[in-house]
Amino acid sequence: MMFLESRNLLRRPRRTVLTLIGVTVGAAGYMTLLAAGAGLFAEFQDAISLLGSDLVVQQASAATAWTSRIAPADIRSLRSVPGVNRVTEVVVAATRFLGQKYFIVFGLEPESTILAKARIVDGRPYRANGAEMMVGQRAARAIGLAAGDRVEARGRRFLISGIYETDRSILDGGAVMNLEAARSMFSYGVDTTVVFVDVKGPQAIDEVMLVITDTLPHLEVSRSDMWVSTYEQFVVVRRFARGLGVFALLITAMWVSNTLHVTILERRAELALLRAVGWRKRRIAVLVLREGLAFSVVGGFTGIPVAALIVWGLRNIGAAGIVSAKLSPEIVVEGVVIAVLAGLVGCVPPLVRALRMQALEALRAT
Amino acid sequence: MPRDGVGVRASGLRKTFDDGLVQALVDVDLEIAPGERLAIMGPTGSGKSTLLALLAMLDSPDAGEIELDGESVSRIRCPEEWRAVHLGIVFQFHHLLAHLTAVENVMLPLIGSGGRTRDIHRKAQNLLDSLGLGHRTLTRAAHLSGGERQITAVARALVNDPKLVLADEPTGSVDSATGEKILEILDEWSGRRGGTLVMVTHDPTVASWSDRIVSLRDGRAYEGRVHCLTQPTAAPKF
Repeated sequence: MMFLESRNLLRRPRRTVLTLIGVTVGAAGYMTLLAAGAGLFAEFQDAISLLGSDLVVQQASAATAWTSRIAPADIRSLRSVPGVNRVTEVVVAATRFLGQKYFIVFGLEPESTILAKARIVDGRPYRANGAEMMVGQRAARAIGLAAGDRVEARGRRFLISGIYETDRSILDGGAVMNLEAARSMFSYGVDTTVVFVDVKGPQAIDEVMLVITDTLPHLEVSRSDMWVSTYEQFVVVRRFARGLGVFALLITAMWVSNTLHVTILERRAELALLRAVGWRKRRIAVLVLREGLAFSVVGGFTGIPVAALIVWGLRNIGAAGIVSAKLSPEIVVEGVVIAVLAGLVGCVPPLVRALRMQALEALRAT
Repeated sequence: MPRDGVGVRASGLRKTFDDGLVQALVDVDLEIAPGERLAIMGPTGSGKSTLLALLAMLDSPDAGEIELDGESVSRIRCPEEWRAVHLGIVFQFHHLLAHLTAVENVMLPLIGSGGRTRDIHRKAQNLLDSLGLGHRTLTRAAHLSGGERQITAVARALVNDPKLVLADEPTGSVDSATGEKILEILDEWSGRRGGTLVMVTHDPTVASWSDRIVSLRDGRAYEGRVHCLTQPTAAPKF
């Protein structure tokens, strides 16, 4: 049944390769964009999980962690909520820093669990004197820093006391410093941006959340494992990535459509001949659709290694490690399926053209 | 000899092109008996190929009617299916698919109708063997000589064992030896199958292989080979 289809594809390698490139790029683009969106989400989720806290609290109206403001009075109120075991203040600042366009700095209390869980790969922990900081290994590699270096940032001089590693790109791509130093440096005054709350046992979590919601309505509390998923910015980023992916596939569909269209025009005599020797319109339609399907399926699958290569590049070559894409099986399946659908949609205009073609006219055209 | 061919009757055929500026066929009446071999002659632009296209249902007339085996073509619901089963067409320019081998080109009519590829391949292979092209079956059409291409095209027209073959200048683009071979092939098919053969040609030698000659001039049909035309000839009675 695939007699002519297979020969058309295999014996016209230039056309086949060109079309496959289009589908491959589209499928790979879609998968990469989804992977980037999911990766960003996962990185933040992973970073939060490192803290090991039960709840995350931030300003209710804040779009991002670094635009959130929580006053000292709120911190005191949180500490007084029944069932709360520990409240950890964190300042998160995303800023142009140390020559990097987008750099995340964490201001931490000296007893922060992040510091306890980070591995110092060079140097020592920072002292809480406001003149030292530690830099994540990815950031240090990207900027070219080592323990003992001195840097000037925002008009202050800092000693890089150590280089740390947490295996969380979002943390390893930034820096940590004393909480008070971060407040001062990024002009947060006495405020905190995010608060991590530990409660006395898992059974108390819901009750603590309820009290915080009732008594401090200007704050937003969520379980730490849900915080990122409820975070509007990540939702927007993921939607944006998906939107870009759909756009990439639209381009793919147009590429397939254009290539097949040109092919149909080039093959007018061939299709006319098939009609002349007794091929029905339905059989011609099957021929065109099968060729389009073959391009789409093969292109979808060849898009997988290309996407994997790009994702690897994002993880390993990306400067500060902010984007750390994750190519999950779900994304791969979705990418292949959507690429196939895009290819089939792309087949429709040339198919209509082929079926409208008059056998005699096409034969005369040669 | 079995006379299994298709009877063809055309009456009052008219066909114009370019919004009526070019009259390709004017009131053409034609009747071909089953198993008859008819040559259609005439100068370039006289309407020969147009007539053949109408008989093959590749085009439709502006007026008039065509009957194949007593059935009006306007009532044939699927011309493609009819062609696949009953008709073989030899085009003036072979119209082989360059990226397919000789045997694959011959297989095309049967592939379109379904059936096992292996059986179709064997049938096409045997046909090419019988036509003396057995050694070139795996050669792509692009690499065949002109004569080999036209013989392959004839094989493609005969592979479905048709009852009617329409040949448009089948020897027009080949040397005389190949042309003679093509005529022998068609003659052998006609004799064995008893099929109806309609052949458009410029060449009187080719026309002499036929049972009867109809000439076209300025879109009108005349019985016999016509040099100086005065009156249209009535269609023959069968």
